[in-house]
Amino acid sequence: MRALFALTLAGCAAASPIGGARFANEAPVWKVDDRKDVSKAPKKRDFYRYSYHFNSYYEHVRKTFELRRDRRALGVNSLDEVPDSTWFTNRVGMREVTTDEIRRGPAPSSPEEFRPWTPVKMKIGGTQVGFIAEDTRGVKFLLKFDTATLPELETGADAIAARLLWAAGYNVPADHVVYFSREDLKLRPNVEGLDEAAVAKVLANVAIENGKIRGIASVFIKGKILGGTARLGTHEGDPNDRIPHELRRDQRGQSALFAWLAHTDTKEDNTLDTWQVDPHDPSIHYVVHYLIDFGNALGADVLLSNHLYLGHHYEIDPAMALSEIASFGLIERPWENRKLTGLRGVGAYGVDDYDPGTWKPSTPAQLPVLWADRHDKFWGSKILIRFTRAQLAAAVDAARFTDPRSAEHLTNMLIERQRRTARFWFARVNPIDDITVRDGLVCFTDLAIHHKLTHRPTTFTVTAFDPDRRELARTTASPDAMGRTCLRPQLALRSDRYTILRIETSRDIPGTLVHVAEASGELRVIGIHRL
Amino acid sequence: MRSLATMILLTGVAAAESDGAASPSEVTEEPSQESPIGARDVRGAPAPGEESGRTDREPGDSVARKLGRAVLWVPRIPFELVARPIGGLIYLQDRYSVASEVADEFRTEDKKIAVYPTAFLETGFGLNVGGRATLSDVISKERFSGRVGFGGQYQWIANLSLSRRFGPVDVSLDGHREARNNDRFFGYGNVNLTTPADPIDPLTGNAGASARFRSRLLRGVARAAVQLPSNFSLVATSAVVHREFAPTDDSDSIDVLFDVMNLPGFMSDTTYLHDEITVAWDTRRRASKWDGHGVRSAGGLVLGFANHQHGLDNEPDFVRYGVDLQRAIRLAKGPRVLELRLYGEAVSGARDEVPFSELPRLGGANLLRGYQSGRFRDRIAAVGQVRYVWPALSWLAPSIFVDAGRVWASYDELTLRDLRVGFGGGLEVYGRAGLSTRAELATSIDGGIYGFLMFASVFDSRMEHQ
Repeated sequence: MRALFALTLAGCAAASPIGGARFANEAPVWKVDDRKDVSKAPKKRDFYRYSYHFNSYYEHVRKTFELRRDRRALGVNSLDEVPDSTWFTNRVGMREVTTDEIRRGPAPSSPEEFRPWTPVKMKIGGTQVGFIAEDTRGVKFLLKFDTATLPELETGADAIAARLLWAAGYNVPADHVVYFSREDLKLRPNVEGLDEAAVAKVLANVAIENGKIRGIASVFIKGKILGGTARLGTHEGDPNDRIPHELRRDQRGQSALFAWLAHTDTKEDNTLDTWQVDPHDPSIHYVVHYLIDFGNALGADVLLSNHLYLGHHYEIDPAMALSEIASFGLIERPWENRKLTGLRGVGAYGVDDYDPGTWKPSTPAQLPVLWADRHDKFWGSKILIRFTRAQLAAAVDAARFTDPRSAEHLTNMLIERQRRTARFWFARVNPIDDITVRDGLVCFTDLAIHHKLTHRPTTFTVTAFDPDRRELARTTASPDAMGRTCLRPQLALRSDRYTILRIETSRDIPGTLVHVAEASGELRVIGIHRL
Repeated sequence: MRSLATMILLTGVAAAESDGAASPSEVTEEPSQESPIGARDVRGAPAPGEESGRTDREPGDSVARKLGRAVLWVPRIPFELVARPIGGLIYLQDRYSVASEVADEFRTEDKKIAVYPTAFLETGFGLNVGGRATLSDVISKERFSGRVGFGGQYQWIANLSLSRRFGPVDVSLDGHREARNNDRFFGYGNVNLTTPADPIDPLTGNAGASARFRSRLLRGVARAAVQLPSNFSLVATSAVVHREFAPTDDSDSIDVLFDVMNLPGFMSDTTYLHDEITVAWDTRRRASKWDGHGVRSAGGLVLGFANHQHGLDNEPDFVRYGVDLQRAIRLAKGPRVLELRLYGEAVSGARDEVPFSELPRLGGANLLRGYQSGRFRDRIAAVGQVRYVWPALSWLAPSIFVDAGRVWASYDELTLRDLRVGFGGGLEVYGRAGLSTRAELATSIDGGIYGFLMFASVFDSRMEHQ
């Protein structure tokens, strides 16, 4: 009987036009304190590749058996935004990010400016050849090269994707495309495994043009390495890590960004946690979280592996296999007609076969990305649509392509995929943003109209409710050419004037609940809940 | 033909190791172009998880969801029972490299010499256990291997081989001895199977029966193969093969169902010297680098062979000869491929001269699938095969096929009437080096279902035979 009562209550709550979300009458949080001292470095996480990939499938099946409820992401403030943390720093669109900044990436200078370099160790693991070197400042970096038959491909993709993900808000290593000559490598005597012959062996597989060698210098991330970021749960021994990673908005929201950048190689070993010293107080240590290794992005993986399907299905994809077996191959798949430009350094990166709704990484491993919901992807899309053409061109410029047509093509494709991604998710979550209140006037911007992603005539219906679900008034308004709409809502007759505005668009998208209340006589937005 | 065996196939996920751009040691720091955020900048801010500003509580699971979860425990139990041990084994392999640790116990540190036990579960025959030894590059660039096994389709088997490459020429020597208890004989010709009241005369009787016999084989082979320009290859083989046959103690023994006195080669041992030349023009290949590894989506094979068999114990000499013609047609991207094959072989001797064991045969996993191995035998055999292969994943290709063929006693009797037709489907798994496993189910117009798990392409059956 109690269960039936609870079920009825739940049903009533779900049917409520203003849902159950309520917010404290407080200013939104824009930074969290996850930099409390962790005096002892958390235990390093071991990574076992085959277990990891096996468990990817296991976890997907387990989730199905457990009928797990789709939970909204955590790690968001009252405005449904991600505050600054050791995981994410609001950059593009939230502060001015200049094209120069994007061109440089996280670090202002490149090891190329500090030659000659001293190789100190051969690179271990990975598919790219290379070695670890040190510049004249003593800055260590990993020097990697392109496959000789695909010049500028991996290095270019890495440089571009790293910069865009950094500008989007993530921590990435400073990856710089560098050109140098053999004479810039000064060998130290008696370094085991690193003699003239070893260097010659590495460089034998590298394209050298006009005496210049192209590579990517990935500057070492400071701190003690703790391994990759766990895809589920939190990092044992890190008290600052309080939100299960599969529920973090900044992790799940990567989905839209990775789809945009065709970063199919997303997995735990392409992330990195390090235990770092605080920049201002050397007695404080905490864990900082990075994304690394983007050489397979922007369709580079398709050319490197000769697999046209990348981005469309997993390498081991039971559902796709069954579908193909049952269809007798009679259905033509979109990737079979993938267009390749043949431009130097350009991967299979285009829009003809790109569907933001069905895009997949190469393995079902990065569970937060795969379990992202439309709200997470909407959040990611809001970030990626903020990049201007000039900013995207600056990121592409960092790839230092020798053929200007490659840079032009990639910039155009980034813009086209950016718009396609945003258009898709802005049609699934009401894309109103930049909600402000001034002198009782509530204004908001429809991002789809603002970015010219829709030309459908749009009107908004705004219904005001008090927190007890009583409807107060209903208003309709139309946005201006830039998607901006302003209206003066009727407010609840409470002391704090707590009012919930249900904003619905005529474009058949679930509405948005904007919670406003007064503080010190000023009305302000205290919460946003997107339906 | 490689042995029919079941195995657990662990397909590795091609995943590059991390190029982790970080160092565990203290490093000189690259300055950041942003003013770095430190602990002092976030002092007083909420802890992670407390930033939402929400005052309501997240609703728990509904009763319906909890009930559903309880119901799903029923299918979940077998899933867990299967998945957990597999996961455990994979973890052990990952964590402790169990496979290579175990393998190391059976080989020298330089991996040049290895001796290890083997076990194959052979479909339809049972377990074969034994051991294998390999010596590689001990003296020069040679490879020596030996094998013994007991059970399965063999009573026992022993094999020694030595191979070495001399420039473009591969040379190998092979010594083989085996005893089999369960070989089958179905009679001569394109006959239907019956349960005869009296023993069938295999040479003149117009009926067949499924009979068992025992065989012993001793074989020594010398072989040289050379890859020539323009996709041509030449293989010269010389072999001495001694065979002995005997009935079994079962009610379906060959001497119960057939008049073995009229079965050439059965009552007396045979010893033949084989001299064979094979010439092949093989252009089978991937048509495009986008086609999966191991898929032959273009080209063809024209192969001819002639084998002079000289009786060393007064058996009559004869010639065995044949052709293998293949063509792969890439119908569409993917690739969707239509593979066509025409295979035929014949012997020159008379039916009553050539030992029954030396006659061309059809049936089994390669030629005329959908019928038992060796189901049809006579002086002339031919089979046409059509196979459609399409990709399911880059490393997995389903296929459907039709095999049609028959045997004839002489060229005068050549006809396409009474063709035997087998058909079915299968799955092929490819690795970087090409086909790794083929699993097929086949049936025929005469009924019966046969399953095969093989480690070679059906269209390589003649190449394998060599």
